[in-house]
Amino acid sequence: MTDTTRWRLEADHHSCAGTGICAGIAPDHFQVVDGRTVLSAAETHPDETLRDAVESCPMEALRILDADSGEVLAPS
Amino acid sequence: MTNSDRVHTYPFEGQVSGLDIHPKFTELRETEPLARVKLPYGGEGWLVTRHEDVKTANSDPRFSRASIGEDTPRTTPLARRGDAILSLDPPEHTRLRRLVSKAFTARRIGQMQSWLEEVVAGLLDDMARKGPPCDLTKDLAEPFTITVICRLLGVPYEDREKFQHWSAVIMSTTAYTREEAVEADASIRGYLAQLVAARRTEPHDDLLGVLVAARDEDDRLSEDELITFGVTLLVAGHETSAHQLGNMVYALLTHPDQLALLRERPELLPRAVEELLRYVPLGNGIGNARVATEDVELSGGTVRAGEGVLAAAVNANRDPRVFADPDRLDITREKNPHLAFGHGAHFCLGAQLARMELQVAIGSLLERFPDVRLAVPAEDVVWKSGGLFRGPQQLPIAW
Ligand code: HEM
Ligand code: HEM
Ligand code: SF4
Repeated sequence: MTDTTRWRLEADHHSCAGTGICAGIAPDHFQVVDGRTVLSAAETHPDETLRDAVESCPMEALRILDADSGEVLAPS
Repeated sequence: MTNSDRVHTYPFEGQVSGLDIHPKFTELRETEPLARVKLPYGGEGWLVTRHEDVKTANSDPRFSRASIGEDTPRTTPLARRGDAILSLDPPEHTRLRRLVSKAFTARRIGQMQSWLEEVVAGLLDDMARKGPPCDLTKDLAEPFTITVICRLLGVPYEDREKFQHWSAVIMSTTAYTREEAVEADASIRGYLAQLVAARRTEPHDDLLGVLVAARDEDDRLSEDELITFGVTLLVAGHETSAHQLGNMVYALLTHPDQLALLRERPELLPRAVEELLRYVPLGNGIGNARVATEDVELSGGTVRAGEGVLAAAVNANRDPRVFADPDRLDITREKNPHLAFGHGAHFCLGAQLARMELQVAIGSLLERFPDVRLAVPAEDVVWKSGGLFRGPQQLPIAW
């Protein structure tokens, strides 16, 4: 992963069950408001904590994409 | 600042029976949202009872699990091990959780539905053959949830009596002594160590196998963490849903209007299970302490850095600030942000599995025995005592 890579973050609000897991793992990136996750920013630097949060969502409601190519980087 | 110098002794005076919630919880929620409590072990701490505060105590990163020690207030003789997933903070917590979280996604659990239906159908067949009355606890709830977690983890079902006993001792408050709890803990760890060793001579396609591979191939957890994780999954995987199934069936059978509604409109099942999760108190009370790592403002005042907070989810689920008519069981309730599975990083790993187990078991029971009813008067049902979880000792049913 080079420093110039940027990640785009997506949340599917229909699948989100408001568990708060993402916000618990990566509080800088997520906040649960009224039972749904809210992203702090749609684009960020690569951040392994963020990947952990996305991989931990039981509803698979979160995705990380390469901001340039649109390739899905997580969940695996 | 806190509004009181009073210290309440927990467990509160006076027994509650069945699924009742001790009135003291309700009183504190309305009059003393940050209450000083003294527990049987580890001394004093704060008790929070409002939905908002319980949620904060569960999920705010300023509340730590890892800082818990022998001097943190608790209700059980043994403190929880420091290397258990429930006792860790992110990122250590996340490292362990990610090893198995993929096996518990809604999608993966969805793929297990027909197998769960088969297991329940087999148990209902046995009950039909035996004829009424049957005991829902021993004839359905325990064999079902134990079969499921045994298969997932890779634990032999034939050993259930052994590990059921150890786990009951570990999860007890007053029913056993500290020495007995220490012994049970050593036994269940020794047992898990044997299962782990078996996976080192021959690979197994189960969750224990996954954990062993994560240790041996990638060094992603220590040997102690591996054993503890196995014990946690085994204990959590059957104690919780088995007790909750008995409690929920009892709740339905003693709310005939709701039972009739569910029979009439089976499509309400998922919503009914959520409502039962909200309404039915699984724990006897207050759960495990979290320790504030800095000062935190809660609705009843400030918790200082270093202080322990206990969160009563049971009570938060009845908070009128969040739930209309909170003491009413209403299986049509639409908005239901209950905290039965916790909130935040430690949100129940097995929630999707538990939901499916409960839906399949309750749905199949009502379909197979539409006239299911208690075989004894409700007040004659005997409840377990001296443990962390509530549940009927036996739940005699007829149809
Ligand atoms: C090896 C595994 C486990 C051990 C040794 C263990 C031990 C304990 C202990 C010592 C307590 C009491 C602490 C206190 O009251 O301050 C407790 C409470 C509790 N544990 Fe466990 N636990 C284990 C696994 C789990 C898991 C995985 C779950 C989640 C499904 C769980 C759910 C609970 C709940 C809900 C309570 C609070 C009950 C109440 O409302 O009073 N336990 N456990
Ligand atoms: C109705 C059934 C269940 C209820 C009400 C329940 C409740 C809970 C609660 C409240 C917590 C969070 C505790 C805390 O924040 O301290 C928890 C955690 C946990 N539960 Fe469940 N549980 C149930 C079933 C299960 C099942 C079937 C499994 C099977 C694997 C399971 C595995 C776990 C584990 C491993 C954790 C720890 C998660 C972590 O610390 O990240 N639970 N459960
Ligand atoms: S972890 Fe998933 S389901 Fe839970 S709040 Fe975040 S996005 Fe929603």
